[in-house]
Amino acid sequence: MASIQSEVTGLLKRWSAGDERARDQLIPLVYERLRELAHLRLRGAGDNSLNTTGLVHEAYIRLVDAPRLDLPNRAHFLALASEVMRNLLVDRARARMAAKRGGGQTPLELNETLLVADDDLESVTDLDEALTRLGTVSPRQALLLQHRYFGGLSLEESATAVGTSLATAKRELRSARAWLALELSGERLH
Amino acid sequence: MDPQRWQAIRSAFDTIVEMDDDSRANRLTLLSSSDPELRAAVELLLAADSDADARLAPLETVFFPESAPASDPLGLAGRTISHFQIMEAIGAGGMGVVYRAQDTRLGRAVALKFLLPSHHLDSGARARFLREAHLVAALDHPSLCTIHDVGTSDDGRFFLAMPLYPGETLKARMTRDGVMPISDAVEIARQVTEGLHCAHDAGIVHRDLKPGNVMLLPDGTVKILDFGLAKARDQSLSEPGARFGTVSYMSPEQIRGEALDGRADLWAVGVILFEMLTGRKPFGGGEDISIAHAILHDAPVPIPRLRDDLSAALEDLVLRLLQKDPCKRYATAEELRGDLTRIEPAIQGTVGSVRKRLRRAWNATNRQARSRRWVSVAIAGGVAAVAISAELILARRPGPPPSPDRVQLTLTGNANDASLSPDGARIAFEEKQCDNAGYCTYQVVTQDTDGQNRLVLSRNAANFFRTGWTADGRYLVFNASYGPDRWGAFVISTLGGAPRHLGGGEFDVLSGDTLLVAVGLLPPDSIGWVRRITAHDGQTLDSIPIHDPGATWNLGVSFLPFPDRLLIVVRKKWDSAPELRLIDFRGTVIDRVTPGFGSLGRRVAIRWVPSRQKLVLASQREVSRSEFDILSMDVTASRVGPDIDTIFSGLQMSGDGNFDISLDGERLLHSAGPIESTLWTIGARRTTEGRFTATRVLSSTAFLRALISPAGDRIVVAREVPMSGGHASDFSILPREGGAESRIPSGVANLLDFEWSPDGATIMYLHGIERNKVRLMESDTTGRRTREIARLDESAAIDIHPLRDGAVCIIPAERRSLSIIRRRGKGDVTWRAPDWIGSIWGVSPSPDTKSLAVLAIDPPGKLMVVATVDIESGRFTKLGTLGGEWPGWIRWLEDGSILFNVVETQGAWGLFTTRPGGPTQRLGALPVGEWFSVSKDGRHMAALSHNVKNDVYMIRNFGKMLRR
Repeated sequence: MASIQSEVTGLLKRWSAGDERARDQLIPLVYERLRELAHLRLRGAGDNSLNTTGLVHEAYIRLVDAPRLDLPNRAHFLALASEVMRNLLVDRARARMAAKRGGGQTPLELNETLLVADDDLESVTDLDEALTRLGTVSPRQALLLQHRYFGGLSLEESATAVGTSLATAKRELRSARAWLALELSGERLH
Repeated sequence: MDPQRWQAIRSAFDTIVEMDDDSRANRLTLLSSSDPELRAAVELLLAADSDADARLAPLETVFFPESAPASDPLGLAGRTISHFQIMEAIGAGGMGVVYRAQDTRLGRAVALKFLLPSHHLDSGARARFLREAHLVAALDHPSLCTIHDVGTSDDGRFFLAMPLYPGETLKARMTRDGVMPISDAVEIARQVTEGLHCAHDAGIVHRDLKPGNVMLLPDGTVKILDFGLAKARDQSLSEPGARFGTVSYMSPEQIRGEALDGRADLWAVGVILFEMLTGRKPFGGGEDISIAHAILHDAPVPIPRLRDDLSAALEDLVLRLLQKDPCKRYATAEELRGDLTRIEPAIQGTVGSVRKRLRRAWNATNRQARSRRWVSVAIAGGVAAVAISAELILARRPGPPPSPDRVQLTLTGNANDASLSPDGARIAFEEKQCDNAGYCTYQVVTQDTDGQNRLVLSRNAANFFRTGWTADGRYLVFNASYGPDRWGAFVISTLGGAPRHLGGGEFDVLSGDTLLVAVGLLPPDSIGWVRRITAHDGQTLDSIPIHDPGATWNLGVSFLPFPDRLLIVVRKKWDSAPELRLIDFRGTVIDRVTPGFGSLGRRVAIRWVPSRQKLVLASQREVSRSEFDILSMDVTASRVGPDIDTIFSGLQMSGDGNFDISLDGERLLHSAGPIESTLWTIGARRTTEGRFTATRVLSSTAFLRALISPAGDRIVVAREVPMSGGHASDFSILPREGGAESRIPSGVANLLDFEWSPDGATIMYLHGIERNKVRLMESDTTGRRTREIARLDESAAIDIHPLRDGAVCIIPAERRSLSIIRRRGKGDVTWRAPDWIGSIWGVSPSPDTKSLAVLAIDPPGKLMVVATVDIESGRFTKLGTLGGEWPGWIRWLEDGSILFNVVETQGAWGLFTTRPGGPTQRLGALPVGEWFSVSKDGRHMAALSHNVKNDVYMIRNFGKMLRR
């Protein structure tokens, strides 16, 4: 474990120093760990609530030599994990929906698709689609929302991860939330 | 929607959303005359904003299940049923939904439990249920939940009226604590058995006894919930043979569907007792069917394999309760109670009243749970809990806090993570060594407290965060990283030598040369370890497991003067409230308390002071003293002054500052320092490839900003001083190489930006004047003549760039356009940036003042863009793009070339030159600084750097300050 932790910590530091290859190496590590944690969670005592914040932070604790990482490194890790979490959840939600509709073969084990409760499938995919739309007009605002919902980042962490001030992040999150509220209630801005 | 449109909507929204209703209406009216569609969009967005919490609530519920608001599943809130006025739902479980209600007849608050629709019964079953409910209501025993009333709602739903009990369920307690002390477990089992005895005597069997139905009250009383309900529930199930509820606590006869008597409840007591004592259920298996199989056919997991400190009598008692044949169990609850009572005194020892400790455990957790006070009820699915706010014993005394008697022990401004030797004569600390490129390594240094006899012990650590001395003073322990494979705790002789790696984790000193090293989170069990290690040979003496469901974020250890006890500090997250936990060397939790100081920040020092019998704690957020009563093992937290700001008195503690407390608790060591701004000039000779020399001009503990004049001969400096509600800045002017400063009188409040005019005769500045307003001013270099150029909305101006003849180019907060404000009567213009520009960061006029050079970022935020703008037409022309992290400034020099800098991927500032139609050339990396400016001939630059000058300080009257 020590070696995984230091590997991840080292990769994080390289990444925040600007080495994008480090990010590519981090993603599979984070992905595997999130998947594993989600599985453990599913096997746990009847708790299959979708707790993205818990999963992402647990992954952080398990993967990173945590107490020594400063805010920028932590923020970068959590932001990355929120992206991985988003992909993981959305893939599974889509697979599950396909399976429910009887839509041919699904490449995932049924068990894995249970990560998202049936009642929540559409919430996950709707949010994903809304974020993708927002991303085309305002990538940073989409990231702020992704960090919140898929990673449970604090605003400070999120601001650090997107490289802006807390005040700006706060302002941008406010209009982004309002936009999302509109989208999810079926209204669209033109 | 395209990005520009969203940008326009958003920027209008950002401004308007901050306004009051009247101003909003006015602004929207204004907007509708210029762009009715924009108005409509902004209005929609404003409406969504005011309602965002409600509209996003479904999403929040999915993603953040714990923060989900209490719902009203039966839609009963606000209604009156019988003589109960229903307030809100406070919990839901397998048996029903619990609401808080007011008994209007007796004027008291009660809990009403409504059975779920699936429990509706046929008429015969209804009569039986009512009869049984009334029988249960007639029972009166301290261990049984009181039932005030039984009734039926309008739609035929049964409800029970019960008192609102404070506390938590046994299930919640076990989930949190894991294994329980023997005495607590036996005491809970004893009270449960007493309640069962009373009910069984009246002919009532519980049938569904489980930890979720056992309520632990803050005064130590145990209450059994839901007596008699299970029968009604079982009868309501239409499918023959179907079971409902938790298999784990069912007796074999219950699983087989046979007739039940009180001995089925005794089986459940056995399972619960087993679980309290070992943290596991006696019959494993993942799914109901395999658990049921194990209950019917397998022997329970042998207890000694899980825990080896149970007496034979207690183990026998548990095994007798878990006999498959009811005839081999205790015949009655009365008989069981007798045996439990006989076991109890033998194990109670000197610990004090178990009941009192149960009470305290609840109080301690309640502090932690204040903000989510109803959550435990939701888990309980039983009777409601009332939050009782825990009282902190405040030891404040009147009078002002004594001022700290502080001495500075190091002078270099690069010392941190200090600790005091056991004899108090020397300190050890980390010293940071940085090269000109800003790369730093750390070394361990010891010196006498008077600064003499300095010794460097270990160099070239990549990272460093704590030092400590072994109790015999012969070794130093520290946390450091020497690279990806060598990090964690290290030990080194105070005489020198190579550091020995003890493993990844945090350390604490125990006695002699024995250390504790806490290692968090070893998968797959989320178990942390505290290892006892000897410093001289690195040998592990014990590995003490710290069982924690979920993750242990931050494990600290601390020594307490018991032969077989450790006090550890556990934090689930680095910023969550720390829990002090008393454990034995097997990891069993003997007691725990969450002191009332909330989050402590990252660095905490804890010292047990034997002579005072006090636990002293210091962190970035709190200074406190906890009292620890050894006889009862009772920890009471007392937060005492002075506050941490008094301790620091004027120094800044950066994120990596730390504390140490002397062995006698009298002195506090901390590292902190002022933030120092340094002004540099950089010889920017563009002919010398990649070589720049930096010269320090001045350093100040006031926050500085500075700009070199266009001629390069002078520097204007703004010194920032805090004032109420913001900051004030003073301008002064000094020669380029330093020397006499001439101060410009009249300070400026809330300075945002300032610049030299192109001729060097005046300084223009932008500062905040009132809410959302800024003022653009011009002052001559003596400060005698100032004029106001414009008042603007805060969003309209963030950067200013003076042009010729008093005109000025301003960049608005959204950085997507630039405006030229001219002298009165000449007409102002605003030019919007083209699509290929995302935001504008730097602007500089050309020597002929007809164009502007612009440094910007492209819309994806990936590339830096250099462009020119024709001032008359507003036409943007792209000169080129390049990679980089962040744009800096740009300056169009008098020879026609354009000089600019950007933060490159390695984090340093790269300096570049280009010209319209010409190539872009990298001149090299700038050696220091962040806030740059350059003379118009490009020969001289000014730059600023800011850093915390950490030194080690000792508060010599710390103990006295705490005792005031």
